[in-house]
Amino acid sequence: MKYIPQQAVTNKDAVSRWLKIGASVWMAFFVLLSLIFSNAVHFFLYSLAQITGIPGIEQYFVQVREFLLQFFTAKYLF
Amino acid sequence: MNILLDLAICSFYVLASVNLGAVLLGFLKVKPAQGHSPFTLIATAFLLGQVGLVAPWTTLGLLNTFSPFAIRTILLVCFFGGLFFAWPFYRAALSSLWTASRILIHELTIWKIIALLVTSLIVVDGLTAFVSPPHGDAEAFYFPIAKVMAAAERLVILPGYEAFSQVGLFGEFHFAALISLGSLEAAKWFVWFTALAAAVMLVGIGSQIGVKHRGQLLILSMLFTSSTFFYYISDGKVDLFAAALGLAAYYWALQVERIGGPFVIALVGLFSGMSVVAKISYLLAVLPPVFLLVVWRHLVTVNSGGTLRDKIFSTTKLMLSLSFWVVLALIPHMAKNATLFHQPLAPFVTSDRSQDWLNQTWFDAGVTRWILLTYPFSLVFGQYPMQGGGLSVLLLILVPLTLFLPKSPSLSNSTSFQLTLAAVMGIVLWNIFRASVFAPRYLLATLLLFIPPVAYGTEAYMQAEVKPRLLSGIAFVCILITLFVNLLEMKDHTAGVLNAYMAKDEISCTYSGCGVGVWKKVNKIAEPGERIYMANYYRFWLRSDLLQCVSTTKEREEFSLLDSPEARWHFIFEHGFHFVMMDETTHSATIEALDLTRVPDWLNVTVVVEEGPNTLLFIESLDPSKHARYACQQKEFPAWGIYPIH
Repeated sequence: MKYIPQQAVTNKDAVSRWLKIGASVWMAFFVLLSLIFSNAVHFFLYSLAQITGIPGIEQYFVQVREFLLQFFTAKYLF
Repeated sequence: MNILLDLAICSFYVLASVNLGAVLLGFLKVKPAQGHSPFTLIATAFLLGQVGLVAPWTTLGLLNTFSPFAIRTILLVCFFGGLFFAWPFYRAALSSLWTASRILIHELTIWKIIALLVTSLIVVDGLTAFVSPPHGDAEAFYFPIAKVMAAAERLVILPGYEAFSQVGLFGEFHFAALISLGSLEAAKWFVWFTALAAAVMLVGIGSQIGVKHRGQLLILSMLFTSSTFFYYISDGKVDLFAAALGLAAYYWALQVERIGGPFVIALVGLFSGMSVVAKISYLLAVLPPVFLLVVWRHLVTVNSGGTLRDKIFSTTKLMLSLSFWVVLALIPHMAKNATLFHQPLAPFVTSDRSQDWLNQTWFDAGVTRWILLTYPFSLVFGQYPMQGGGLSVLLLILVPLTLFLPKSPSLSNSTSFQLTLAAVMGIVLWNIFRASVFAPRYLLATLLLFIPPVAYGTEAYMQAEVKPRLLSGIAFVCILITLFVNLLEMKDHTAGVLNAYMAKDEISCTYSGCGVGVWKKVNKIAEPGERIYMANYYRFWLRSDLLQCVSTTKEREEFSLLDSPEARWHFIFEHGFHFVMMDETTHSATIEALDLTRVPDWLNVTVVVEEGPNTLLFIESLDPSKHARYACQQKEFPAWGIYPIH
């Protein structure tokens, strides 16, 4: 296993601290994006809307999903 | 067919492949004790055995002797003859499995959960592969050609897909052999074993760059959450055969300088050549990167000594040697196309104008530009038509952790860097020639090369991080969420397919619009060898004799030149068709052309059954003086063919 310098994984180095913050934000963003596009989550929110009687949850989710999806289907070009 | 028998047939075929591969590895002097993982050697033997079996299957197919007896005999010889050679591999693998289990038992709980989720994904994939019927392109070509080869006991040109039959046949041969042994389910399940071999080769590549046990779990997590990988475990297409062969080529390309000897290069050549046979796109996406890897690592090794002339000479010798084995792997394919089409270099070099399907353009310049500008996100999140899935989101999520790795003292010596650059080369080449053909499966083996370095960086970071391990914690949460959500999605799909499987009889397609009733009806009422005019792409469910007698591309082209419905009906009758199968979703133009209100008076056309967009028509002449000029007959038993009636 390659040696990773200690300073790279502690918070004592400013560069690595910002790198860690950036990496955290990056990870959170993409896992959220994958959840938005996930059918399982869509079904979960639909079920939640049915149980709670609050239709807005699923509707809002679908709107966000459609908006983001157009960037990965080039629909915005049409 | 009995489930246990299906499992036994598939397992027998897998073991026969492994044993044959072990024999071939013995000839190539590749031994268990050369620093390879036993699993990697078994996967190599399995894939080499598949490569080895394609040669006799091609020969039997061209000699019209692809019979169950011949197939069983060859497999029995491979199974028993290779057992002695394969036994050390099995023993080493069992020992290694035991060691890995003991390591896992002592691992942290989080890693045990990851292992459990990954294993569950793999098991669900296997179950789905077994119970799912062929779907999509597999219903149109890959399984029909296998079914016909098994029934006709020879290599055939699939009617309706004559031009496409020039593609390299690899997975289709194994499907045909397994169907010939009596089990469609075994043929489907075989793809799962091939997927496992691909996974093992990818883990093996990871080991070459320093990945340990945790990193191996990460590799498997990223692989089995890549929809462009797991989709094709169960739908019946042959993409994973090419991916497994391509990954084996990359793995052994990394061994050329490490082990040395002329026979390792043979493995690289055979695997990369066969990967091109299995998937034409690998001519751009895999073959050049493999050459790059081999030559690069050779130049790095010889850099320390020798004159420039010596280096050029040794490099040229290496490339010629590799090219020889690549060409050798292409021989069965060339023999097949030379015999059936008189075009040995087809589909790459051919005088046949119907090869326009090779020059595909899927999207206009604007959309193609957008796809390229959104790389690599389009590879993960894209949902373009015909894309067929993408890479795992974990690749994107975990890639920042590779930034913490210290810079290598010499990039050109770094295996990670070499692999990454080879992968980039494959992607660039593909996008130079076919940028608008956006389908990760067309360059899957190359795309998967990004997984090992990311797994390595993640493992190294997690190993080194000190408290508070916040970033590792976030990474773990992301990994668990991704695995869990994938499992949920697959569970639902598999449950639906399983229900259909348990309830099925001879037709088990499960999607709406399949037309189960239509297929059952035509299979029941059609006499042996009766012809069907197909206004439908998906034809796997036809009886095997009917499959051999459907409309040809030439007949469809002649049909399209006719200028009235009356002439078209006359054409259909004259060419001996008793049925017309129509799919409104894909062939509405043909259906319009066959205007049912303008059938000639002497012809009776009745609607036999309609189901969703699918319709079956029956045609008979009311005029005894009218006769068909063509018929489908079994002149070369057991194959059916279309002949003129004199």
